[in-house]
Amino acid sequence: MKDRHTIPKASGYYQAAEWEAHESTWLQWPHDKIYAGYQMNLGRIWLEMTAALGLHETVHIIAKDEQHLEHIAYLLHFFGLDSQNIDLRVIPTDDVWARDNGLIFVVNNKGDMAITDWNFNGWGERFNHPLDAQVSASLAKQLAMPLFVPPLVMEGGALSVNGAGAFMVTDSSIINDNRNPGLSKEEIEEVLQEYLGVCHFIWLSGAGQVECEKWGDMTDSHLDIVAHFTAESTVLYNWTEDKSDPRYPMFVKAYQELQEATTQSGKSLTLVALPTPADGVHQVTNLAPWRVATLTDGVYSNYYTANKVVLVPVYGNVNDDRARGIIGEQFPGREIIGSDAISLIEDGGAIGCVTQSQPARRYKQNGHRTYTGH
Amino acid sequence: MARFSNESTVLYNWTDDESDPRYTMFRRHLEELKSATTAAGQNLTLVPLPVPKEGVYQVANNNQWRQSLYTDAAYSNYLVANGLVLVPVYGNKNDERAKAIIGEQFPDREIIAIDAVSLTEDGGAIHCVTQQQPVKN
Repeated sequence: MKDRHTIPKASGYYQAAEWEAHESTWLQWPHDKIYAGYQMNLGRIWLEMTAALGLHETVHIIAKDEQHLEHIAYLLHFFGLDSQNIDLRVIPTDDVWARDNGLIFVVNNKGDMAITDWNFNGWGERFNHPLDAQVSASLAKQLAMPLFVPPLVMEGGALSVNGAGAFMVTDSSIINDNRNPGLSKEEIEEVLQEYLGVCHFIWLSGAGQVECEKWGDMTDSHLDIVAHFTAESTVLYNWTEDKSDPRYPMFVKAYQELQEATTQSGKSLTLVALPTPADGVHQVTNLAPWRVATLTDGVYSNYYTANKVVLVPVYGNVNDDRARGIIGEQFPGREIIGSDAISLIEDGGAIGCVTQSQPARRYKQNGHRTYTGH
Repeated sequence: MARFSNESTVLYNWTDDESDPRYTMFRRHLEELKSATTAAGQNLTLVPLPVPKEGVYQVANNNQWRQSLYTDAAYSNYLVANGLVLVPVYGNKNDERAKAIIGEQFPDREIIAIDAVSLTEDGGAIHCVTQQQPVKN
């Protein structure tokens, strides 16, 4: 099904916003390749996500092999989740970050759907994850969907779209020699226009590697720890008054940049401040020598919007409740579900990093997009 | 609230945060401990143990997801076992300090942290869910 010769834009394909109607959510279930001895800390979170998401949409669960699949099926049965709308299938994986493995679904208004595969290279070749890099291609085959492979390396956590043409991203995670050596901002924008059907760009600086290491960030500052579209012209941005937080300069800069930014139609953005966990979230395990009690990149903006629910990572922190309230105001028709994400964040991400949405198909007669926002 | 860590040493929970609802109780306990002695009449060596900064809050949704209630989380709810000490941690800024202070009291044991957020929201931590059986003399 591989189609390198045409571009998605030619067939009217574009990336829908996360809050638009979903067909399903994709999850990669944790296993022992990276997490030997630690799976139980994570498995609980996957069970909770499956329980919450499965009420309103299909949950596709990727197992690494047949044995893993049987284990997950047993867990789902044991916890009473096997009557939910779950699709369990085998695709070999290295890790759990379904957001970042390169998979982005695109739709057009004729009911078509395709997969774009963004050449995952282990977050700038920090980690060797060859199996995760193959997930998009395997899925295109299994689902019999067209596959488009753009000439760009990018992870899903690096971006946020409003579904109406605007694309927000951090410079540091994409204009970077560890992913796209020699490519200019203009060349990158051209690829994004062709493959995700976007027409307007909001570039935030993000943070360099030296800064990122202060909070254990291995992504070169993905957008999902900085800001997030919640509607066509509304952006939630992370904020703290604590100047001793090493992320403070990044947050200040992002806020200044967002104040200058507009939507695709030139409208100013409505900016909503989201607190970060007070005093930060710290690592909790001692299972491996590299896991010491250091600050993590725990933030609330790493939530996931799905049909009728929003999963918000929480950390037992004094600010959990405020963050859930603020996110809830943006999604008034949805249940806001807190997911204890400490065990996940100490591995480098939260709920938004381990979920990937598959939009519902669109059918519309005229040339305009079917916008299914709230 | 407080734990013997050897015959005459007591770790006690402490915070300087007067807005913490437990502050009054911690103060009263400290005063009481200062006038307490061992069975032999010796004064106690008192070692303050921080509590989690800004507290630990419930994470579950049990039909009340808009509420995030304060829990009674503290580091004093650790378990001393052969060769190791299990210390509840909460992803909190004070986790490391607490582990170090407890570690100083048990220099020959490994200090193992256990993520106890989900447990403490049900009302307890590591010590509450363990019971040691001593060896026979």
